[in-house]
Amino acid sequence: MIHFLQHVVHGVSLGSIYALIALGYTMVYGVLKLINFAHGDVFMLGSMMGWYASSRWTQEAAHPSWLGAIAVTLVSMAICGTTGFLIERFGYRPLRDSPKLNSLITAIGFSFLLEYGGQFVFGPNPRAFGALPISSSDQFPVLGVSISYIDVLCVGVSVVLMVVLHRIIFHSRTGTAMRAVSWNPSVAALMGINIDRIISFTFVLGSVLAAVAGILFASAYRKVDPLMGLMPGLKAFVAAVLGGIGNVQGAMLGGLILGLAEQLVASYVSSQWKDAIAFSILILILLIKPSGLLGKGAAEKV
Amino acid sequence: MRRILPSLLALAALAACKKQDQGSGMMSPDATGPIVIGEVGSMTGTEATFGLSSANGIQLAIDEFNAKGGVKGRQLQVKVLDDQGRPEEAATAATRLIASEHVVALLGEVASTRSMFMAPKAQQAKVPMVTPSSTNPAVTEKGDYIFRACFIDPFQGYVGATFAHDNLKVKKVAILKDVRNDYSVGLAKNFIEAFTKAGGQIVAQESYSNGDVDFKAQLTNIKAAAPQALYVPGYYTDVGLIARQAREAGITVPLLGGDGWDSEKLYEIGGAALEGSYFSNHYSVDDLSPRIQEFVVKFKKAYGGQVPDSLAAQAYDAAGMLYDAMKRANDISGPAVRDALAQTKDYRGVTGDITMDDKRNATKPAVVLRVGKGGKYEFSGRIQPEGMKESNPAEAPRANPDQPKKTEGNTAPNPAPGTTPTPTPAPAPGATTSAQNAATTGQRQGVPAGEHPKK
Amino acid sequence: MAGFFGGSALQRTGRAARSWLPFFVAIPFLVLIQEKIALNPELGLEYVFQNINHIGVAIILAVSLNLVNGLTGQFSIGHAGFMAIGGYVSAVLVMHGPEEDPFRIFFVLAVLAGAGAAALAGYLVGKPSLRLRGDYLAIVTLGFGEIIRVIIENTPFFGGAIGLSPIPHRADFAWIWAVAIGTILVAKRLRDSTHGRAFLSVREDEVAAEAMGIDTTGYKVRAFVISAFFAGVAGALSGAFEGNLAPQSFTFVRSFEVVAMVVLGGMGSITGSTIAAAILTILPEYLRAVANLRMVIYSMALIGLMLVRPRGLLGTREVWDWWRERRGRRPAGKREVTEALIDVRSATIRFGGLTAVCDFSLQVRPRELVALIGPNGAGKTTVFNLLTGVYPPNEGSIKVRGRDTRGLSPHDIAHLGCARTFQNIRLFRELTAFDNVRVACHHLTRESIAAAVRHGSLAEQEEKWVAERSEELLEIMGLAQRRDELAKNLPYGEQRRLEIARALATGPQVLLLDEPAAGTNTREKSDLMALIRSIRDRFGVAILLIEHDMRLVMGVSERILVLDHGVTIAEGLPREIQRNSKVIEAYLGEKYAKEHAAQIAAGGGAS
Repeated sequence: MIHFLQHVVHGVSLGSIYALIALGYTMVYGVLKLINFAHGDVFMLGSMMGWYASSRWTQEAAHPSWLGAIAVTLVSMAICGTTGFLIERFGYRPLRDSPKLNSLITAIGFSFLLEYGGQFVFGPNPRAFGALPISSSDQFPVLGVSISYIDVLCVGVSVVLMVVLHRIIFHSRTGTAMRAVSWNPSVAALMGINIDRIISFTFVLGSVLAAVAGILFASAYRKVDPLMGLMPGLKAFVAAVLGGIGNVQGAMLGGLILGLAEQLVASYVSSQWKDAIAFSILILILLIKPSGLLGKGAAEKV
Repeated sequence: MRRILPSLLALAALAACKKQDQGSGMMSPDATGPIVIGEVGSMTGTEATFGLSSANGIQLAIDEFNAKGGVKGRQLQVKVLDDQGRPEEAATAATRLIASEHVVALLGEVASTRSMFMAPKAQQAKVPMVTPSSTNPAVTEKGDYIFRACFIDPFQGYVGATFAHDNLKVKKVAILKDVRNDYSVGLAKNFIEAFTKAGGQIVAQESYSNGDVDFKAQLTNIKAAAPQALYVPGYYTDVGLIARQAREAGITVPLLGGDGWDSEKLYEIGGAALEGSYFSNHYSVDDLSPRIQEFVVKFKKAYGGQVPDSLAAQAYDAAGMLYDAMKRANDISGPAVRDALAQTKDYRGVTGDITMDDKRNATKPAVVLRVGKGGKYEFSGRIQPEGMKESNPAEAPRANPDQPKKTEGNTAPNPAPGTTPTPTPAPAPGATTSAQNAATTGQRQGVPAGEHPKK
Repeated sequence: MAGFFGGSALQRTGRAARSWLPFFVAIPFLVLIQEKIALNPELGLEYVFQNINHIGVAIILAVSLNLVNGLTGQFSIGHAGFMAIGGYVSAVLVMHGPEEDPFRIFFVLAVLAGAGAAALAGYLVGKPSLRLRGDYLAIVTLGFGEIIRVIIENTPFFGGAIGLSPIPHRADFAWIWAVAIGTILVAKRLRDSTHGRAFLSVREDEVAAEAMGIDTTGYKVRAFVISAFFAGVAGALSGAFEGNLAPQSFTFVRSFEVVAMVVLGGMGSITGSTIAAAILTILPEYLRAVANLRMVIYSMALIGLMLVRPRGLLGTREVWDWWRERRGRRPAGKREVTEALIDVRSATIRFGGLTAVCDFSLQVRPRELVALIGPNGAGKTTVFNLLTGVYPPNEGSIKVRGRDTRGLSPHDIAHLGCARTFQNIRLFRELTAFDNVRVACHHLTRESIAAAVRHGSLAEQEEKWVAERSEELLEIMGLAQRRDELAKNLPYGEQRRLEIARALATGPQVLLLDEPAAGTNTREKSDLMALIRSIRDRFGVAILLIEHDMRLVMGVSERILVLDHGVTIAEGLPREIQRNSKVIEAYLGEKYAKEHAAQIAAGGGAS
């Protein structure tokens, strides 16, 4: 029982990080109907920039503090937000009227560019990340289950950000505009909404969330390298689809479920097939309920 | 549109012609020109540091031999081709070297999978091939032209098991292997065989894939099985994290591993969690024997202060073995060199005295190092291959730097205490992406990330 | 005797053989090259031929993927997975098979087994996933590719991470290139056949294709399975040639490289895929100098290509199209069609909280001209969609020619004889007018895909019939001179007429026209009225018409139904409808309705 709870704790913690990344995927898909393959690599960029900020540009890693950690996170958020903006502006915007396939290929192209370019610029070596004054070994026991402070931080920050995001999307003018664009871009434009600006905003928002996810992930797992974004990115995408792509609450739910599923299957079934779990869930959900758990199937008007 | 097509066809034709030119008339085995040796390695991709490290070791050796006058009055030249970490590319590179560059022998590859792809080409063309670091036994089984300068997985697995059983005196061990990496799978398999044969018990077996960062599920299961030691025959990139998470999960028993641990990054990522753990290796850079120290000094001088890792040392020895054989052979034709290689006995390499057994593998002992405080490595034992002279693992000079152990006729000599970790990545399986070419700038290279999951 | 068996069978075989002649002629040359040049150790060309063979394999992969990504417009990025299946299954068979195989009989069987396994996998993966939207399919295929790789890595029987070897060397230059040429021929045959047009229609507009009687999901699956088969062959040949297989060779990057070849060459162009396969295989050898940056350059080039020339080198063109254009045209012939019925009883459909159509009933008898009118948003097009099976009614029943359409997909209903045009014109924009019509003839043909590939005589005859029929229809619609024009380039009025021609090509008994006069001027409207009547007279079809232009409606219809907010508010002869106060109220509002009623009461005059 204790072990089960332990697995649950791990699953929730990991799942909350997946959820943060998934939010970026889901929002971009909502407004552009595009799977931004490069999103996972923006997450990587967040971690790498966090590393540079704390180990190269400042002394934060050597003398970690909360204030310093926040500063590092802000720097990372700024860089990622800009990157997301640029990718959208120069990669996806020109292709908005072209067939979907072209954008998809461009997205994959950007993903590769960030990865291999990252390897070329940063070097392929993994680095040790240490911007926070706490590490994953700082734990406290609760009913026999050990929970690390970083776990708490991950879940906490994720929840806060999701609440903030929810407010933005459902209770602000920009959010309403975002939703309008996701339902019908041409009509939204006719209503006087500047689509370009809204889409850029969406990308920046998603990238910023990815940056935070990157910092949290790097703090929890310590190792950062240019290819680290691949798997989490893919898994976050699965989470987004699982919850219903385009649906913000769905991303949260999907992230949690995926994190838990991974932990539980790896422990109780077989760790050998851990990689295959995410893909299997993906295929299953697409075959059974493509609109996802919280999504609604929409009939296309002919 | 119509204009594009003819020009494209022309381009393709041109490409074909160019290939032709490069093929013929290049390095024909001219009796007075330089002797060309081919090298296949991963100069780009996730395996880049391994390839670069090996290449450095080989180049150092070649320069040395040329300074000594070369072979039979001819200078040596190495032609290096990149395989991007992909097995089929290794085969292509080997073919190019053999058929177009007419190399006399081949050096490479680091990873067993890629060596497996290269070997048939070498065997068929009767070009001797020496792999410096491929440890899977199947590689040399490809044919009698294939040799290796390092020991094989069964031996290293045996070393780990023997050490665990005889030195650490544990009876219950859990295994956590990298299922994507045949090196890790091979070591695990052989460890299990040897350990159970010695009367031990494997209480848990878990797997991960290189590049994973979360091992908590596996570790929780392992903890529940209550092992007395945990064998993790993976790469330092993952082992560091595994060690940390193991301690966080409450596993306090020592970890054991293989030469895949050898790197400074290991401690950087794993930190104090690694202290008290052990791993088997070929040698240690702080060994004070003159042979090794000379090598280290020369390497540092040639590569901007960079300390050689065991891959560089193995590559250096592989090149040396080849050179030695070429000198002994009557001529540098394939069959002659091959025979000479097969007769290699007690070649004095930096990684030990190398003798080719009847399977063309190197017989030499392994050392076991302990990760001490602050990441310093401590000698913990030497284990001979079964059937060779007995090991005396308890005999470890704890104090005296001015008394290096006998180095004559000795295999991997004892390192002095207080050694610092070596930046040594170990043999890796195939994977692909580009990486920076640090060797050309002489910079300290880091070590690559785990295998690109997309590969 | 000869007449009974020999005559036609022999002729047919002869013709098929003749059409495959280039292929058979090429084989001895290939073998000659292989024996004399490729395998000749003295020439030292092993490296050159290694590359040439890699190109051959790449061509097989790219051309086969083109069937799915290019021709059918789906997005599959898991091709390496099928290659792996084919490679491993056949390798395992060969390794456990006979030591000597001088005539390569066992080898061929092993390759077929491997390819068959890959095709089966293609079916298993494709069938459930091809109904998903494009980007979802991409993810599923990506996931599939990865799962296959993980399975191979974890299965010691397949060699695990270190791979499978030694695989007996049963294939070399001749085999690889024979198959490559064969693949190109098969692809070409397919593309030029009616099945090829079916594939293209799926790419162009699935909804329209379904309405034209093409089983879109079925065709997507077929493309997928065929392409998986050839990927499997490529894998088997590759393994037999290299002597080794390792899971690291079948990663997502491999799949993506093939996708890049298809995209670079031009999606849908077989020639393009071939050329791009050659270029992209050779390029890395040349880029050895900047090897570190190879993938960076690659990805930047791909992005650049998408931004600058998304159609790739050749777009959808083929080298033989260019050749064909220089030759002449051919004349036309004749054909006919017959009877039917639509019977809707109390059909209701809701979208969420909105009831779009409520308790709707309609009967259309053979050769009737019925119009469906009503203010915007009344539910008229929704009725069409119900009739053509785009969505099923929540309540009520719909029967076409006596057959209940619940559960039938649009293409089934098209087969029953109900064809339509669309309010917002859904032509296959990138196809010519001729092809647009030819696609619609597809469901009337019987030739199988295998026959199309073999290019047997049945296929030839049907092609001829399809061509003649299509040309005739174009002639009738006054589009004969626009035959080879791309649909998207036609002027608006002609596009509408083409859509009608296309719908007629399916051989319907009832034709549904959705606002055929939209955007036309007075003159065109008169022509349209005449056209509609003449279509009914000539083809004997019933016509159900949605229109806003009252003159057209009144001038053409024999009966009119009026819908408002999803409910039928009036039905009757044109005269009656004109005077119906509810209709006037619906269109012009209550105020006018009252005025009108007053007018009638006062003077009994017309509206």
